[in-house]
Amino acid sequence: MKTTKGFIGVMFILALAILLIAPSVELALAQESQILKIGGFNPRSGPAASWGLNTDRAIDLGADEWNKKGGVTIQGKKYKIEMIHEDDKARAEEAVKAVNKLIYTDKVKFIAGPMMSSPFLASAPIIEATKTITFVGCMAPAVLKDRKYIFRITVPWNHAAPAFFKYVTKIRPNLKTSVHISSNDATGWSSTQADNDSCVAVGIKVLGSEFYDAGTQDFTSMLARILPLKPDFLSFAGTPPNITALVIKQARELGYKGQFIHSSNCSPDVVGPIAGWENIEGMLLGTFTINGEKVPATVKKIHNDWIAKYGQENAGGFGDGIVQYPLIDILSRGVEKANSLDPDKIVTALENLGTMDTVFGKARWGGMETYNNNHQLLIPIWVSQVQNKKLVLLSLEEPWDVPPPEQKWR
Amino acid sequence: MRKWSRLVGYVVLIGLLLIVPQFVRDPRWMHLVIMTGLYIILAGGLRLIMSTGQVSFAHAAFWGIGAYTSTLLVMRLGVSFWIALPLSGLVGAIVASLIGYPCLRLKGPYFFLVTMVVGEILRLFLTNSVDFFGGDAGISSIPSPNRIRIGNWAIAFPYRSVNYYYLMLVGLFVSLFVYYRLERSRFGMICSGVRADGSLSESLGVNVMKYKLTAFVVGSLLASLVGSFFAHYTTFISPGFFTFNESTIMLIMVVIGGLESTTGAIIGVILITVLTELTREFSKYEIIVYGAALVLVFRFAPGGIFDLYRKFISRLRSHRASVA
Amino acid sequence: MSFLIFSQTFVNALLLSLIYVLVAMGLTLILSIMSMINFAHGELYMFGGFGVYVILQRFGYNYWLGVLVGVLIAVLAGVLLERTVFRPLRKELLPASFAALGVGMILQTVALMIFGPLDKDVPTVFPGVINISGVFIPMEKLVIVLGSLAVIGAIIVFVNYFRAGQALQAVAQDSEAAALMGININRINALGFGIGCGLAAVAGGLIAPLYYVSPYMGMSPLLKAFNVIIIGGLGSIPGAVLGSFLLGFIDQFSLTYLGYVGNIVGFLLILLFLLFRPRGLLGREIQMH
Repeated sequence: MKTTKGFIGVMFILALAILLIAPSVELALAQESQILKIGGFNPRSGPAASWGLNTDRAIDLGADEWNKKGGVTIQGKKYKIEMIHEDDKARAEEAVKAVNKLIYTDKVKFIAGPMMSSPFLASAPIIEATKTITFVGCMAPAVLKDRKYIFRITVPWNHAAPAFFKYVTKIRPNLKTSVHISSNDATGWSSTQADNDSCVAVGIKVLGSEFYDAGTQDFTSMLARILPLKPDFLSFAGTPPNITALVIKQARELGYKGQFIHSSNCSPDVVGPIAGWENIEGMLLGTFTINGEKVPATVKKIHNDWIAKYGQENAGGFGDGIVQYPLIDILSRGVEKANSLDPDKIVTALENLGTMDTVFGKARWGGMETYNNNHQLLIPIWVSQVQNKKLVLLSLEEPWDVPPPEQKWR
Repeated sequence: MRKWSRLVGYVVLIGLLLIVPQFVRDPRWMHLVIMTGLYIILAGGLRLIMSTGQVSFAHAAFWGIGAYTSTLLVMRLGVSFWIALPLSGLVGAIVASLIGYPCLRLKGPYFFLVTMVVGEILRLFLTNSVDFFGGDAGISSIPSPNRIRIGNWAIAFPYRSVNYYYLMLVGLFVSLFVYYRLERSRFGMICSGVRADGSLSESLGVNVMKYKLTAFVVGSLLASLVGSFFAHYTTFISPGFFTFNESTIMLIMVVIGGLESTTGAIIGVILITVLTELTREFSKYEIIVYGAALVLVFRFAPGGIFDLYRKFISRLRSHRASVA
Repeated sequence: MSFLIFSQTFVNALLLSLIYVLVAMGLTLILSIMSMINFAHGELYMFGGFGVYVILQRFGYNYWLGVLVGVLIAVLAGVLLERTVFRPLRKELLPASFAALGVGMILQTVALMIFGPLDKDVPTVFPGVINISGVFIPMEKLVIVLGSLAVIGAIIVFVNYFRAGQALQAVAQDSEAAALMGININRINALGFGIGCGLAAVAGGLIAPLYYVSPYMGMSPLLKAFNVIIIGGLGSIPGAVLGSFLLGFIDQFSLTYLGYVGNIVGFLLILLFLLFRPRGLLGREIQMH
């Protein structure tokens, strides 16, 4: 009895010792090999979780590509990329805590991917103060304006919408009037601004703008105001697919026969079942898809990689995340060109990358007129259409470097 | 003998708190420490309000009122932070009086519902006034407090400097002093009576309204002061910081810790903060931890954790006494 | 504005009001009997929605079976919760309400763990739209109206003509007197809470095909239910009906004619009630210790 007890006791102490020592050994080993730590913060829990998780997945895929080549080369040494993802729970205060951890505890050199503007803005002071180069996905203009170390790789609506609607007028000249619907918050206002200004710039008449408060599920009152105006199409941007679906469903139920257009990311696989596929046939969306002959082979390859790494059950998230795929690629190119980890040198190198070949086509930096820096990536945007329950790519369009003039819509 | 050891205890505690920055060098942990201190002031104020039996869902809104008032005073009117700070507290107190006077009359769930509505109104107001209040996207680049000059020395507040910790500490000491004084005085006793049975107290001649209003105004005033500090410390505020959600978290902190004493609020804040950090890895399910904590506490220890501790101690003592 | 818009708005308001009634009735019932604010009401509503989702969408069985399953689970959960969590907290508004909040959080997270955060669609069970000279009435909503009326009718009959229902009324009015009359308070509480939860689930199940199903689907209905019972009166079932119609019509008309600014109107109404008539239209004082 006593020997068994003693034996167990010794085993226990040994296990404890290993558990305590092992991490420090690992740490020591880690410091031996060359690692480039890149951090990220996104909502990984809560209602926006799937969006955040898919964005992080896309970034990881991009990191994998470079790690397959051995990593990033700086002064002859190869550095493998290690992504550290933190959860900001879509709250500004949590984002600050996450960024503190990434910068001070994990000692990351770069930050990749934040998509929500408010959490990002709360962390911006720390990021700029510590010269941590950050590639963002968030859309607010304040995010990029007058910044030195921040770059945006997603094309916000004010640059994308004009190109999108210009193409719409080309293939559907019969769509002449619109009413825009969006949420009554910062995202909604900026998307309304961009969409409506773009419509005006390409000759579409905007008959009105409607706003709904968060949590609304019944849009019959809003539609009762809109439908008598008889717009050729209802335009959405930035509205999540489930809300878009409800508006579409209720509009059709109230007898609306016009078109629906969503100029930004919105998955028809979510909209179709809720609104009814027959109701969205022919709908135009500024969303990624792998269907269609114009889809670049590179995108199809990444799609296969995605399914291979994340499984078929997560295949639907590809469209949400893929927009951030080029991030690691462009960042790594900048670092290699600077051949150093010095932030200022890397910023200069990035700015001078010129025209880049990316998975979506040719891209370059722009935005000087709007943001006082050329840190906005101009990369082809997608115009797709729902055809027979499938989303098919119609064309890849060049976003506008200078957004259309702003008018008052509220 | 007792008084001596108490005093020594306090001195040691204060001493330890003063040298914390020596041990906490990582800005990440220092930020957490400062936020914990702020939450203690906030939770303590909420506990004060709740000690009269009124549950306020608008506490975060007062935090926000202080933050926005201070920000606008400094950024639009060029007022110095050191003047904006007390002014923000004043504004909070005035708003609290305006709301409190008509609403504290309401019993039970009604006051609580009103505060919910008030919080929502504030949020809607802030979100919809883009030009003046920055709307949804908030206000950034809020300037830090001006330098204080004392003789030849200057105390500056660069971004995330350790001086913020000391400023917070001053606020914490002052607030805790106010809370404990009120709690242990006749005021606190009457508040407990009002909470237990308001109509009985009234029939005994207590001006119930006066106590409820005082607690509400003091608690909200301190929350506004915290807001002012917070705005200039983080340099960015948005309506998202001061929502319904935040008020709920503060309520959870107070009730889990225990309503009987401010110590309960302190325990609640520290417990929730620690739990949040620990569950950072599994943050997806952090809510279930709070939910479980709420259910367990109210089912088995409605007085909160501090109450549980006190009962345990007194049972130990009586056990000792009976054994002896 | 034209008569057509007016009539469409009127019809919309009618439909909306009956949806509000479904959600508010259970909340007010629980408040009157157990003197607690059931913060988990939204999650029990969600049970109904997921019942329909699992039975109809996942397994392809009958829609009404799905509603039944959701309701049964909700009622069982309600009885269980009353027994384990809420019984010792009877008449203590604060602890019971906070415990309910905790329960709601747990239920929501469990749903999250099982079903994931994405919104799930439930196919339209009653497709088609009735067109009466330019005024459109979707079949789905008509079914909800009928369902809602059936439920209201059932509750009114139960509460007035059945022993158990009358006992519920007695406990709601004065539980001490009711106990003195020999009513088993424990049983009535369990019954009341179970029925309240069941009502929430019925609402969720009926409304599920109209919108979509998700672990977060209960949050806005809960808020709306709150608003309704503030106006109608805390703890009164007729009040819930009256409040639903008042709020439903005011909401619908102000949103249609004023746009999003119309949200303020509903708000102001609630504030006015809270300040000047906290009891609501037909409410009664909440019994407390």
